[in-house]
Amino acid sequence: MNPPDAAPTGEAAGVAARVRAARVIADVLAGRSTLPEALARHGGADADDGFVRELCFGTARHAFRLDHEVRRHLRQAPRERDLDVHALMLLGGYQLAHMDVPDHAAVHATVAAARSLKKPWASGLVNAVLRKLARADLRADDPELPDDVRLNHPHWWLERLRAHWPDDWQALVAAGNARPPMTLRSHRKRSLALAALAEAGIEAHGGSVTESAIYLARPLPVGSLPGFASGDLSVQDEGAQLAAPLLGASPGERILDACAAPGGKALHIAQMEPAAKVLALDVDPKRCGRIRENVTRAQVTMEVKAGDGRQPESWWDGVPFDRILVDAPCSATGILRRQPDVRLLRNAEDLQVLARLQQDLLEALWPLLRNGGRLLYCTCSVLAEENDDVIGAFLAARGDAEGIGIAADWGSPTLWGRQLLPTVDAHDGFYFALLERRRKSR
Amino acid sequence: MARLEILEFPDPRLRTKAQPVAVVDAAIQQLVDDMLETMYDADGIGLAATQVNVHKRVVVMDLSSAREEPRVLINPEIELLGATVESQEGCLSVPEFYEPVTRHERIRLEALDRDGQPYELEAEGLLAVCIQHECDHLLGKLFVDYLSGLKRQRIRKKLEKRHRQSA
Repeated sequence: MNPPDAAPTGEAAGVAARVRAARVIADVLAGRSTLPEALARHGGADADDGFVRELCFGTARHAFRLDHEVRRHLRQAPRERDLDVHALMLLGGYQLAHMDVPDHAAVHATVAAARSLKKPWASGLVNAVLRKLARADLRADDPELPDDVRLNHPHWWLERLRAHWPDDWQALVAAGNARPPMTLRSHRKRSLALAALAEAGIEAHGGSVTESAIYLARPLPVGSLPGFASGDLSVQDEGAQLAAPLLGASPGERILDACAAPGGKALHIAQMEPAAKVLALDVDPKRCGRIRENVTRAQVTMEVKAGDGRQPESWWDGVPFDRILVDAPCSATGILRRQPDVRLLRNAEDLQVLARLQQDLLEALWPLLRNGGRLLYCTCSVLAEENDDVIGAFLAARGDAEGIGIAADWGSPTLWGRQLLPTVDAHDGFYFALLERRRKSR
Repeated sequence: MARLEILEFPDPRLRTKAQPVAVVDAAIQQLVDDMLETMYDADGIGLAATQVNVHKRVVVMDLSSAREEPRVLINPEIELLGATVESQEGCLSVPEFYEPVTRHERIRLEALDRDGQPYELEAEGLLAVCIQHECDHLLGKLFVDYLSGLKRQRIRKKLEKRHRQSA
């Protein structure tokens, strides 16, 4: 097929990319879908079109500030059905402030994109607003700005960070606004993997929290990494690489990863102890496909099942597990830099819903653990509502659960577990709590 | 790699129905690579094997602006979803003509990649249109088939004239 616009490369393609990015951002702004879902729907995720991705992720990362700057020049708030035009102005602002695109090219192509939205009024508005934005400094720190705009985090989020982490909240904000590094887990000895990468001309260094993490100096397509196809290297944040060793695994043990997709931690467990019997469960059958891809690639043995952790009767064979990993759905406040759209999609009320879900998962899965068995609870949240509060309530309700202290030189101990806070250059934020099942004492 | 000759409407070979690929072997991968080179050289965003006179169910595409995100669809099967929408289409086998064609706005695709690995994809927008357009080629169908007989004849005459002049 020929490109629909007769001039296929260069300018027209750049216009098409901006239209696509605007549709993706508009879906996220409307709360219709997450960024990866919207990218897939508009034909951008699978293609991994670098420019569209950069526009979308970058605009989401700076969404509050960009929205504020654009709205200064609008007479009325954008209507729901015109969110695509609003999104174009946001990503126009992103190009002006944060990308290497020359200003005149950014304005020109974004206005052309507005023209192709078939809203006759839009191109004039986009042109006028972007020309004003081009004259302003959209990156300058201005203490007059409201906090959510200045820090690109919603108010409810900032409030909680300040309350929970009075000494660290600014570092947490900086980490959330940063571009994430591309992190790998090396299955074999890390020095060998680093040597293989160096030989391939890929700049990388080892992480300091684990023995397995490797940071690439620049993100690269996974296909170009020596050792990815064979499963020697996997993409996984360094904080996430702590889970499998904390859970532990011995030959012959039955191990459940109850919220496994996309399968990074389950794969780590299976690679760490190939003689363990791992069951990777996830509620989303589609995402189970991602787990199977990982299993096939790394050639490990593991059972993958679609099922809801809260309803074991629908998938459990009745034989107890020796170890269970509950990597619970959470606010993702510890991995904002990897999911920048979370700042737009999540709200304070979600925290209660998530805490309920986390509780329900623990309560439903605990009876599946044998006496003396261990359960590792983890989240990528930095908020106590989803971490210590959940574990504290669970321990109080169960007489046969006991918290096991995690001795480590990373992160900091909390009442019931251990918290790793996200950093700009290294790992994401994670919470871990290790529980052991004892005979009922009361 | 080699650049392949693209058949042009009304060449009857474009009406051949493609056969499924039994094994994704080195020969198929070579075909894929040659088709990508041919497509990039012609500034296309999609190319079906039928268009280069190979009657196997193989399609290559690249919708990215930077021309660095090749897609490979071997034995593609699509399910049509959603409402229908009209958009401008052009075709490397019908050079320089663009006409509106009505397609489904969303599709679900199942296909094999260059390594013979199966994958699934839900698409909409240009991606969905392009996949439908290329899958038509594998059935011996062209976008001009959706146009009125009058329009199709006009395009046919102009292309035949051009072919005569360049022959």
